Amino acid sequence: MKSLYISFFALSLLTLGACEKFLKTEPSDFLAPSNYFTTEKDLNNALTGVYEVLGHSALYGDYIFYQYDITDEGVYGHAALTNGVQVYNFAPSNPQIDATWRALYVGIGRANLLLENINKPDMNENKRNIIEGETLFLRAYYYFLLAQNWGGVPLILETTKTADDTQRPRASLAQVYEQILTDLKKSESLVQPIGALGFGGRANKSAVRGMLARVCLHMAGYPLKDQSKYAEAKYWAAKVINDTEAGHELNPSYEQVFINLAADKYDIKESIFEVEFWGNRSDAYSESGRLGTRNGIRCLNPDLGYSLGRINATPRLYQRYDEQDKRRDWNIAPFIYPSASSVTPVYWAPENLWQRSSGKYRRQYEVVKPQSTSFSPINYPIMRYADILLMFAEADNELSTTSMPSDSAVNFVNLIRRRGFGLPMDQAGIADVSAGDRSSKASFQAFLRDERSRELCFEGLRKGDLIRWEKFISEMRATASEIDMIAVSGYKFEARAGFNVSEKHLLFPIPSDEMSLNRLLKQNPGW
Amino acid sequence: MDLKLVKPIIVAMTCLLVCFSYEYGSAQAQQGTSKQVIRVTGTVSDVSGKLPGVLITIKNQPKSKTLTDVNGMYSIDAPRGSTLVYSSLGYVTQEITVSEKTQIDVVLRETTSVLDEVVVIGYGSSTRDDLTGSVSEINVEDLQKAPVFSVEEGLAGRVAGVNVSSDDGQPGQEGINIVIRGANSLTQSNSPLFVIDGFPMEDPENISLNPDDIKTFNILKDASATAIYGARGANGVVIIETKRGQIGAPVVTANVTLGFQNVTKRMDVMSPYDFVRYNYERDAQTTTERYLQNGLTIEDYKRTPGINWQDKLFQQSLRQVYSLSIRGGNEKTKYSISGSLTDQEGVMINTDQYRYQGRFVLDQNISKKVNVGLNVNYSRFGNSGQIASNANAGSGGSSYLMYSVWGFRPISGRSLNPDDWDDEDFEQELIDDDIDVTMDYRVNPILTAENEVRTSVTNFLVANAFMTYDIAPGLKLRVSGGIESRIRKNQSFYNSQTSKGTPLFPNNTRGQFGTVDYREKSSWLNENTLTWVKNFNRRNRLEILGGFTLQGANSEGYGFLSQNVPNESLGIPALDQGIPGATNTSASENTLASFLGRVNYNYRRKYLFTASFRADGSSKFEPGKQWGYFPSAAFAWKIKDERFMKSLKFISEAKLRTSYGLTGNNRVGDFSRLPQITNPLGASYSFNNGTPSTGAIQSSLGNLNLKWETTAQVDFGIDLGFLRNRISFTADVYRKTTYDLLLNADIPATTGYTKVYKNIGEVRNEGLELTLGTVNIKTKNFSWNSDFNISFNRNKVTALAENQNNMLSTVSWDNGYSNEALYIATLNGPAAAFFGYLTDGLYQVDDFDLSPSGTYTLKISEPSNGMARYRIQPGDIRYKDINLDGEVNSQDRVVIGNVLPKHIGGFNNNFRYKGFDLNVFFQWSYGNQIYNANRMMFEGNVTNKRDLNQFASYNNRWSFENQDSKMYRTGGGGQTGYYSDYYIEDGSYLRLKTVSLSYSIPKKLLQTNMIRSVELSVAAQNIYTWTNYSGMDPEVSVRNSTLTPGFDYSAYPRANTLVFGLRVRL
Repeated sequence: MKSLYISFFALSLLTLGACEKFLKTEPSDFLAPSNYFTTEKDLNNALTGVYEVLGHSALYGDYIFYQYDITDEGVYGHAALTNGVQVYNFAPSNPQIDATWRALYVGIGRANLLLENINKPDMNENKRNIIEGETLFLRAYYYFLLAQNWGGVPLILETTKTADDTQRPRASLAQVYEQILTDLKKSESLVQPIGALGFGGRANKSAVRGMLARVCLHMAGYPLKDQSKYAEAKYWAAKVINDTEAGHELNPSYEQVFINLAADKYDIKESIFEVEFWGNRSDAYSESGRLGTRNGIRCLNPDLGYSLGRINATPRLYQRYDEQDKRRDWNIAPFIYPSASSVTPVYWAPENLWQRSSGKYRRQYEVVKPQSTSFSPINYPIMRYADILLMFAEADNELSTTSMPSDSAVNFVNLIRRRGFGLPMDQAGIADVSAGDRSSKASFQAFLRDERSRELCFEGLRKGDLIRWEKFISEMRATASEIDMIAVSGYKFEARAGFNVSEKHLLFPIPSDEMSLNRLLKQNPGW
Repeated sequence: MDLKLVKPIIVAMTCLLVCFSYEYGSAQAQQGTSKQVIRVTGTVSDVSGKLPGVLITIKNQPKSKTLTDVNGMYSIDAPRGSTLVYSSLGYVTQEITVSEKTQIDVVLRETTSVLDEVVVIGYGSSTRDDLTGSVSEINVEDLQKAPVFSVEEGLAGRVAGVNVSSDDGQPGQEGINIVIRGANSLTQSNSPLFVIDGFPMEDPENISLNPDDIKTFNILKDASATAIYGARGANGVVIIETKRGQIGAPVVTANVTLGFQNVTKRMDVMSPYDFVRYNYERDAQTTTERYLQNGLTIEDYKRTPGINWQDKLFQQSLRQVYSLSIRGGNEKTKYSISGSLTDQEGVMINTDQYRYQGRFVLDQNISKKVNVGLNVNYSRFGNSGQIASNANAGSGGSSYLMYSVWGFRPISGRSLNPDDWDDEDFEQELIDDDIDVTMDYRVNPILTAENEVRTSVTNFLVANAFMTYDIAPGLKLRVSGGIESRIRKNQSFYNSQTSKGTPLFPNNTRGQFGTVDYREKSSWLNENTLTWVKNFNRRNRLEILGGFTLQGANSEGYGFLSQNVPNESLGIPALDQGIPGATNTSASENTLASFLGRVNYNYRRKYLFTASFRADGSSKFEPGKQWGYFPSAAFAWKIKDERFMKSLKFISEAKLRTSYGLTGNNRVGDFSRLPQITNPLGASYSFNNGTPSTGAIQSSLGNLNLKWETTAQVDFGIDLGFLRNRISFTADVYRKTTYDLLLNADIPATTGYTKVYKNIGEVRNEGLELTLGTVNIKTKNFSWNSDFNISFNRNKVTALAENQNNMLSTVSWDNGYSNEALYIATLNGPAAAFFGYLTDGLYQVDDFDLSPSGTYTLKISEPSNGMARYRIQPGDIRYKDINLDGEVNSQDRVVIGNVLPKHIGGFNNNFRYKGFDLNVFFQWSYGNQIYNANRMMFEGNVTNKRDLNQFASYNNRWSFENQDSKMYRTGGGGQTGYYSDYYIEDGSYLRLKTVSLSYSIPKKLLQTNMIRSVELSVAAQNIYTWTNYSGMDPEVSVRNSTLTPGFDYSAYPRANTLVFGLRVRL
């Protein structure tokens, strides 16, 4: 019996000693950050994760063009929707706003993690630099979207290390923009030229420069109004234009730019940076988006490119175009395919300017078959050469000391217009900026603002533009009044967004969840 | 026969006889020296018949013993003047002194005093008399009378301090929640630790147990009782022991029950006439186009009955149970073999659940000192059918089953004649042509319910064995070990006639698709304990327990989805023909090592002390945080044994108890503490139109500081018995404080993450539990016993994360509300309360200025209701403008209802008359409220859907002709996204839960000795519910968690059950 006592005691002791080992378990279905980032491939995978956020439904997968891009160009075309971001009737607890805020900070967090580990693997320094440059571009772009939509936001440049380190105050808008510029400028020195890439789906020198121009224009406008940034904007736009190596030029056909996007073709001369979408969800991937399905031509025939056509162009946008401007009937579809069996388009009556779908992204050109009714592989154009030209012209005009626009500015705009009219680029005449419109700095400014809409409508730029020009509220009101006046009674609801807009809508509210979790945040005015 | 041979045989026999007589004589001679030995014979019986297997011993002569045989007969040689002791489990031990009589017939009384009963507690047992902790016993016999599928279903109301409720009535997926003394944890599981035959399980699959196999069911509630389970004891411990073999001839029990189930309630929906009238008010133009063509008027719709969708979906369902057991044994070997088949259809078409189960129990005495035992249970159980409270295709409130059932139109408007419907009308179509399939996911509920395939089947094996070794008198070693293995297979298939598989919804990207998913979990356990019992000078009793245990668990899962399956008629077996979709695999493990000890000491069995200690080390935490230490102490004073109590004759029992201790909770993921880098397919991105590249993301932040959640509990209790324990009373008050809460906390999105596990916050539960047992009538032929219990629990959050003073929670059901908080946990308030807008009646005509053109404009003095002022009309919902700024917006939200019951309880009655046995059991919950979101959809149509049928109650809505109505007008529900007390209802109820009547056929009628007994029974469950709740059933919580209880939307209806049973014992 004594031996039993002893063995029991010994067993206990043994167990004690073995406990530490016994209690040590290792995860088998995931890795730890500390033992990742050891190879170039690891860095590239992490970079993929930073890009992936772009295609999130809260960004270019859906909301940006479907929920948020409601301006004087297009409105939400469904009567039953009375609440939501689309009609500017929403609260700080709105789930879409919350999802976008989250997605952007997820993207920033992923970028921060990659940047912190960028020097870990042994690898080719050039390749490392490219990865770093692309990451910086994306982080800057996510902050740019935050700054445009929320103003000064918490500036997070390092990964969250512990669960207790969560309370962060808002930085000033100027601080956020400074960081954006810093990141973009560093990125510009690191990323590859677009020619080396051969496609527009990765950050490249032209994209970064174009983005610098865009950021600078925003800094020059409301609310920062840092006039000095016009020169910088012009500098960066010019850098793209004068980049002979990249050789950017407009595609001779306006329509072809968007047909290419739908047909999964790249055009690195014109389309400088795109959000890539892929597939039709008939597999396990979810990399397709909703561009063209949410905001395509209303078409209920699944074989012709199904779309509910939820975004209707406004009469105001329609009337902005010259009769001969071919961009009008491309951007604003004059027809629909009303039923599942429709094979021929049904045209709207000429006076019906309120029911026309935005027609920029046409699903009939998709090459991935079979087509999903909800998702498309159409890439989203974030930066086009046309925008570079228009940005140059705008910055140049603002900088003009002569009260007249410069010839180079006007000429760039003429290129865009001739192309829009379907004319050869060297054919001066009807398409060109009229003498009146170029007669003064102010008239050219007004003309340019409309021209941006004609050229870039439904590309997610308008709201930001209107806000930086301090035209958003007035323009929305005017659009609504027009709809209310001319639309038939069943379609007067399209005026909702314009009538509901108020000062507070210049910024989104900080999501209510975030407000309650981060006590250092202050809500935007009016919310 | 050869005489030569005969002779030696005779000699031998004579020798034997002589030897025998000598032995006999010497024995007699030995005993004869003190007392004369006589042979006593007789029978032992109870009120219902002869009792086999009763142990008869002679007091102070442990070697002399016998058992009654099958017919209850015994015979024993006993010295005159000695005392015979008759004992059998469940009966009061009786002692009879041997005098002249050689025939002694004994009638044993069933135990009415529970004090002598052995109560199984953690790592041992105690008599009820000697308990220091708060341990509640469930009367298993009463529990087994309830016709329920799993024991948990019958638990509600049985014991004070234990709140048992199910989320809804979904067969096999009821979500039964057992919460002991209030919820400690805010985001983690609050279910108790189950210890089944000594095998602790956090997730025990109680559905695998055959209720008939259960012998005892005890609930440990206070820290003194639970702290021996340390890190897993904080939510209370349920100890279940299954039946083992008993000494005696084999007893075969066969049991058959057959019965039916029906829904307890249907909702009245609008008739075609009311439906058209409502829709006309909502949208005259569309309604005219759809229903009032060809000269039809609204009045014409009075002529048609419409389609009753509920009648088509609900069914009377069959329930069948067959079970068989054989139990028996001798002094060395005891065995029990049992098996059962249970099959229960759901009350909704194409739903059901089943269980096939077998158990084998063996106890073997190896030697005087060594005993071994084995207990194996294998069970295969499953359920199938659409889950009513889960979203189908699409998203939002319209994607739920009951939305389609109640909301589907009773008439299409194409014809008034019911005979036309089957051929041309929408009864055969999955989707109503007139709805907008991009915003409304209503489908024909019958077609989708019939076609949807969803099954879950689990194979569950539990096997454990033990060995005890009596090392020395009073010192016993027990070594036990066990394994548990479960494999669950979930499958689904959605063909084109289902909500998820139809090509008609444009958001269906998967075509006809199916999924298969396997989860395997296995665990093992080894426990080693040493018990030492010692009595000193007859007054002191010391019992010491020490031990250590090791356990480990592994889990893995794998599954896949296949979409655009070409041959949908083949279903799941042909999933390989589809296009592969998402796959998933996972694997995980955890280990736990523990040391435990307990000392019980009593002085004169009057002053009882218990102290226990457990140290648990868990692999779920980082080294340094792994070990948790959980001490407890208790004291009980049997005041009745004091001299000053002796004179109070009517008090037969009085004991005071108190205890304090710490227990823990470790219910987090095996690796929740670690940051994770993963490569989910969703993080891929396509470059250059190529196949998407793999993305690597950090998917969780992790928290290396994670540690145990700790609960400190203090308990005071009193046990009283009166009039020879015909009345027994127990009261307990307790306070539990849980700190370092393991909380899956929301964190700001700026961190890049949404949630992280943290040890933050503190929750306090305080309560009072009262139990009263009475023997109301007891005569030879008739008896009536009652048990009553009531418990009060108050729950309070005393600290929250990051100095928050509240924590908001949402529930998902409709997109318009997905980010709106319905629940708030406030500092110094309960863990959950309803949060939203307070209604202030409806806007009445007087609140408006009437313009000459007939338009009503809200007076500037009246607050808005969140809508633009010009849209507010008389009869609209009106809210209190709390901050008096003239606008009702998110600033005006307040606490609008309480979710926790003020008290819960049960009232059980047993009547016995000769062979008849009647059990009547009531259960209640009082003071909790329910948010009835069904009414948002069907008593006002807050999401403004076209052609959506409504509850008939909405016929009484406000109109200019009916201005006294409390229900807002058509379209008057105000702003979407506003939760208000308008939809909060009293969820109190009193339920006649179980009635069972059984009759034992008298033995003389059976006319055979083959059959021991035949019992016929009829039993019913959920017979009637008294409640003010307007929904289908007040026991509902489809998004149940500590933070979000009491939400009702599209719940599976509850069933009432009526079964007939036959039980035969051979």
